[in-house]
Amino acid sequence: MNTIQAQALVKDSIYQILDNWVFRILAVLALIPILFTFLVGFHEDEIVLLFGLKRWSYGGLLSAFDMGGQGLGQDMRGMAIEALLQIILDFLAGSIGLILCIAATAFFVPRMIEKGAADVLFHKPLSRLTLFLSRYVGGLLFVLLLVTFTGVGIYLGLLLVSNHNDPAILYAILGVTYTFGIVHSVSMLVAVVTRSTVASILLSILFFFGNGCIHNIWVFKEQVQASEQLESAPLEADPEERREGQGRGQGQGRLPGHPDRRP
Amino acid sequence: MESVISIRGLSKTYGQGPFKKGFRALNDVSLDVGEGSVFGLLGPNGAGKTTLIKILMGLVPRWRGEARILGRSAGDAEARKRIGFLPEAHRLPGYLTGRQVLRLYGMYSGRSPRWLDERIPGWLDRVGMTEGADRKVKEYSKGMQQRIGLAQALVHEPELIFLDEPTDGVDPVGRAAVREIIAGLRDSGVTVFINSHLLMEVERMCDHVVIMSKGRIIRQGSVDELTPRTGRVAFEVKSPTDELSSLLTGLGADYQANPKGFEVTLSEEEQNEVIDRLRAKGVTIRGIQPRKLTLEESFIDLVQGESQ
Repeated sequence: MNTIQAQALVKDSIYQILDNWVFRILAVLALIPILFTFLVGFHEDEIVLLFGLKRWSYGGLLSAFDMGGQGLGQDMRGMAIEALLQIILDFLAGSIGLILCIAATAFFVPRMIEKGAADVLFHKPLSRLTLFLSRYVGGLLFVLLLVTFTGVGIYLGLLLVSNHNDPAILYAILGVTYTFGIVHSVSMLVAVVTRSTVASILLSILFFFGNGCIHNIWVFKEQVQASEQLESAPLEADPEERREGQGRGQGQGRLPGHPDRRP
Repeated sequence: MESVISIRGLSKTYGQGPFKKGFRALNDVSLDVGEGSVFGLLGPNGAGKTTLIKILMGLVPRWRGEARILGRSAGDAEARKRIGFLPEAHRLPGYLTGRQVLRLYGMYSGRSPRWLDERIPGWLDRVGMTEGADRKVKEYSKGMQQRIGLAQALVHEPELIFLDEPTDGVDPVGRAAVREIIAGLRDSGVTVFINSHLLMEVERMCDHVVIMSKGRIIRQGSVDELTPRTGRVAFEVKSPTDELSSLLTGLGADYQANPKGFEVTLSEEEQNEVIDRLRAKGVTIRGIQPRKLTLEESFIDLVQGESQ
């Protein structure tokens, strides 16, 4: 494969992504959390809407949800931002968004190898492996563009409005793309074997959830082991060590990309 | 003339396994296609035409025999750079515009974007797609898809072109344009390999024809060789009457009158005699047409003979 052919494959992938309506919908939906971080500022003792139009104290907000007094005195700003990021990156981007991306990219290969389309493409002086890889990279590009847009937007929103600099948000771009890369490879394998978009979507989502279950079981097991160790530890043990023992296993399953966040 | 395609003893069996006999799509096919010719491949459904083309394009694996194309083994990547292919019932990516299809597929064949940008408007014009070039392929009619597909096969200016049903779904004006393009390609020394069920189109476009049936070549030759004279001659005369038959007493056989004149089986000498007799009786002869078998008639005879 020469550079002209590589250039053509990349362009082809970009055209395919930009024409995809799921991509366009997700890009518009990604604007919602980005705008949220630009419109809502998390300050030391209060949350500010639209650059001062409305202000809420953390204590007041907790009371409104019948949680008055809980956690007060701790780093409320940090906790609020952490909760927000967990919702956006872990739940929306890392789970729902990823599933939508799997569904939106699952047809890339079946459409390429369906009767009529395959002959036009496969007679070109490109190996089939190259063509399949180009579709794989196309899928990764699909997610990378969306997650980069969302991640960089949120990072800038938090940095400029809330003065919160968290590079973990940027690492999460790679984390989510990496997770998708694994699931997408399964999706492609199923697509090549079955030539079916539906089978590809179903089996790759099953793989995604299957892995999620295994991961959660593993986290749960670690937590049980940690609490057992804690119970069996002598009472005179260093309180710092006891705290460490409690903390072990609790950071699993958090935001993708953070040193402590796993997809 | 140098052979652009050279095939010796080519055989292909689908679905063959340790306990399965499989279906033999090609059976010991040998063929040579000369440079700069327009070559027609004919045959009924299941004759093995598409399999033959796909083997040459490197799209079908595991075959026996020898197949060389542009001096290289069939399917070789370097050879494929110099080949254009319009598959039957092809599907181009719906997310691309016609112009993008030509640009990207030309680049896949190794042509630079600048080289293509200079030539794409010309090809769009030749296939009559200048107007719809910037619309998405998914919005195209069947005929428009066929035209862009044809341009896609030609845009990188290959030395050898395979066209599988090139006029499928194309209107009569478009067919004339396709014929004109193929004639232009022949004039510029490009070899064109056409597979079509429209025998009249093949008869008009091709120099050489191969007829296949049940995976074998049953006849090949020039169009003239495959459409021999039948010996019958059609006479068109001014105001034909019933008395014309009596003028031909003792000449020819199987006299058949028609509204424009008559048709009869004659030798060349007898033909002159008939003309003399008609003139002597003051009959105005408007035209004399020796009847030839059409390619379609020849094809049907051969294929039916083969099945019997």
